[in-house]
Amino acid sequence: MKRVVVTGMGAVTPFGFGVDTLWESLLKSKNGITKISHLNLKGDIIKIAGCLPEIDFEKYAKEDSSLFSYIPEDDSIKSFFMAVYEALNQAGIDPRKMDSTDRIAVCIADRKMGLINYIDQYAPFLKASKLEKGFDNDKYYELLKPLRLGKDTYFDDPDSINHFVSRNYNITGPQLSIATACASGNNSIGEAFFKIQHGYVDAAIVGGAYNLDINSMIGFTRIGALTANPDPETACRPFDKNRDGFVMGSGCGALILESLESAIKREANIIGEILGYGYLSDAYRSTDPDPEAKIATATIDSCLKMAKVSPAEVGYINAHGTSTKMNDLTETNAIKNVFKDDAYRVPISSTKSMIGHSIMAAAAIESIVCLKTINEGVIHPTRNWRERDPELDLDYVPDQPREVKLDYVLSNSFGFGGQNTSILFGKFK
Amino acid sequence: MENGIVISGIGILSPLGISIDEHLTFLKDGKSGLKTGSTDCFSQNIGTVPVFNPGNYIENKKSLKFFSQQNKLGCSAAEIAKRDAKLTVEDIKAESMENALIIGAGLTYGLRPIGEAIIPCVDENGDIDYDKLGSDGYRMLQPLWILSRLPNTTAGQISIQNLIKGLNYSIVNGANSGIVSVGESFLAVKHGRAVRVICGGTEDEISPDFLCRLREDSLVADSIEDSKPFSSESKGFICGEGACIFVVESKNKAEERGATVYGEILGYCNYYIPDLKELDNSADIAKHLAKCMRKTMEMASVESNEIDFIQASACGYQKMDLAEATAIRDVFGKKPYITSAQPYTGNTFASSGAVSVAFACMELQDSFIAPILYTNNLFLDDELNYVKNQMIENDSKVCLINSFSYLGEICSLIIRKR
Repeated sequence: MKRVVVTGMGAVTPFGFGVDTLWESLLKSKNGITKISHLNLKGDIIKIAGCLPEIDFEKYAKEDSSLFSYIPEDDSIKSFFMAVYEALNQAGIDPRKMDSTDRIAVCIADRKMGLINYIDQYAPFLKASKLEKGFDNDKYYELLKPLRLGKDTYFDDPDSINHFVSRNYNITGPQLSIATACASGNNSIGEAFFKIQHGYVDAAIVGGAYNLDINSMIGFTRIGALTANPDPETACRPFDKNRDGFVMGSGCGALILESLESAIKREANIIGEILGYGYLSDAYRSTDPDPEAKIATATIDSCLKMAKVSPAEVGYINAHGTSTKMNDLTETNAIKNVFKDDAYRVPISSTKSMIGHSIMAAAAIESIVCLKTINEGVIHPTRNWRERDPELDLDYVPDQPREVKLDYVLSNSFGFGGQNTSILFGKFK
Repeated sequence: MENGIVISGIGILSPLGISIDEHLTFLKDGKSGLKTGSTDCFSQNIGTVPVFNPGNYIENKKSLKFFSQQNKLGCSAAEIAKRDAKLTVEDIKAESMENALIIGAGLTYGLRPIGEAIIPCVDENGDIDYDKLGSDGYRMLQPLWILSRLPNTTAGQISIQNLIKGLNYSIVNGANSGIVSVGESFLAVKHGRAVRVICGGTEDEISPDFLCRLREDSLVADSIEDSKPFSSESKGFICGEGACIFVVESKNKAEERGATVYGEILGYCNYYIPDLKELDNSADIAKHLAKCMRKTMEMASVESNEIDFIQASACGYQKMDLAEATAIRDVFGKKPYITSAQPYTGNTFASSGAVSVAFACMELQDSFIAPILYTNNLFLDDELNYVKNQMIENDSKVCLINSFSYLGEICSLIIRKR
């Protein structure tokens, strides 16, 4: 099997554009969570999140005139694309100049925004089509039909970011849009890792992308998963005793994976290596993790076994760490189950403590954090960890960044639907 | 004989019905499941799954409260596939972490679902009262509503119902989700990541606003009469509902339970056409499609003259249909028979590729090939071997299945009768 390395990274996070911006902010324990200003949220609907930053797209378009050739005028898609642009630049790959791109896969997890951004325009038609019981589809259709005549603003382009990346960079290789809720980024990285290991492709643009909309804010409020704490400074507090729900986030993390052979041939700078990928499902409940964390345990365990790395060798765990009661407890238990005594030694921190939970993007952004940790030898702290929960007695790296020497880093991500994933990154040797 | 990776169970819900027998009857009779009649009326020009009771297939009746159509169709299809494969939860439990799920999930639902919360908050001027939405409106949604909007809920529910604890991910590759899911499942078993994968595709309700967006791009026909895959008379495709789920595992595992072995998966390829929107010349598009089919044959170690029939992608969208006809001629000449699922079911999006795989399995198993349902102005008619009007009895051994999406994703799969 081929060894798989990372040669490029790009990030757009609530802190702004760029991996360096993200990393410097995390080391300073900055808060990326703010009031949501771009959506009209009232009443009980949660109004804080880690929001997409403003990016001066023009500046980058001037640097590379064909950069946005096939990218729609949509700030979400443009922002996501900038993360891919940064990652490809760092890797020194421009697919536009390659003879064949059949062996480059594009696997960024994202979610179609669909028509939700046009809900104000559609609302009167929805209402007019409501029957006392049910809904009159035919009438709705009749009402919408005139709109299609030249009114483009009523229609959204539902394509995936993968399509836009491939169009812009002229990539003919396979596309895989993976959706595993909060674990999507890890599964995207992991499945591309599998494809490169077995020689189906030489390289892959992977990651995750997510932006907030009314659907998600209403839906996650309704299910009761978000904290009702309205203070952006203190609402998100993973592993803290007073944690009471997660805070939504947004952003995009992109990584360039390639076979070691390909990277050596190109004389690329190698950032790190992917060594293990754990993927199992709880088969327990839709929203709750198994309190005994059996499958989360097995997932971490299988990831380490694939990597042939023992718990004693793991120098840092970037936790899923959502700030919900259940996740932080079961994740702690899973770590204890696998790491035994080493659980009390290994530093654990949550990137979400500063930027919130960017659902499909989260694991990809956290992978970037893991690779920065390996290369810089510093662990970012868990923000807002103030009071110990008696059941959560591990080292969550409060307050200050910590300098460490390490070779191996584990990244966990778990999701609704019982999705469990872990990725193990290693220093390239 | 070596131990291949096979399809050993099929659960298919489409406008033709919810059982294999119903599908076989329609296919052999050359009868479409799409209604005919009025033009340009939404409900009369959508292929719908006949009314059925998902409670017959979904154990947790409470979950039906928040299920979307996609969840209901997908979970029901999975249960039907499981029964067809003579697979029990006990079989799965015996090696639960070696059983996997790769499910293609479709998102054609538009604004209808969030409409439940929005509609009561629209004032007399047609504006949304956001204060009301934030206080009462959003409570109109089921507490677990967001789950029905997450693409991985169908897979999650199948996992819960059947104690599947292995690899589990959902694919949102639009109209190619279903076939990519089967191809990836083949690779997962091939490389020992799972002993068995429940895979396929499931689509949500087709919403009028989603349909309008397709019309904006001139992709859909206004009536069923105007949708004729492979014909130059066609004005677009017709949307259909559906789900199609398979059990994919080693031949030995299937035979241990006495399951029907529908066919062995030999090869799979997935590419993309980045400049599809700009390409006007069918020959230029055909090059991409030919490359995809050739690569699949290479993986399958099958020569072009061994392909007996092609379960084509053709959906009635002329640009892609002509390119597919051209590519088939360039790669295979006149030898293989050509048929398409879409005259029967319409374009069932996320499940469409899986539906084509299911039709190919049924045709291989029952030694026939279903016809396309009209004969006028078929692309390259003299140079290709379309099955027209009536089914043919044919002891085919190897079938190539295509799924070439209007968004540029292209995928082929080869199945051999075992």
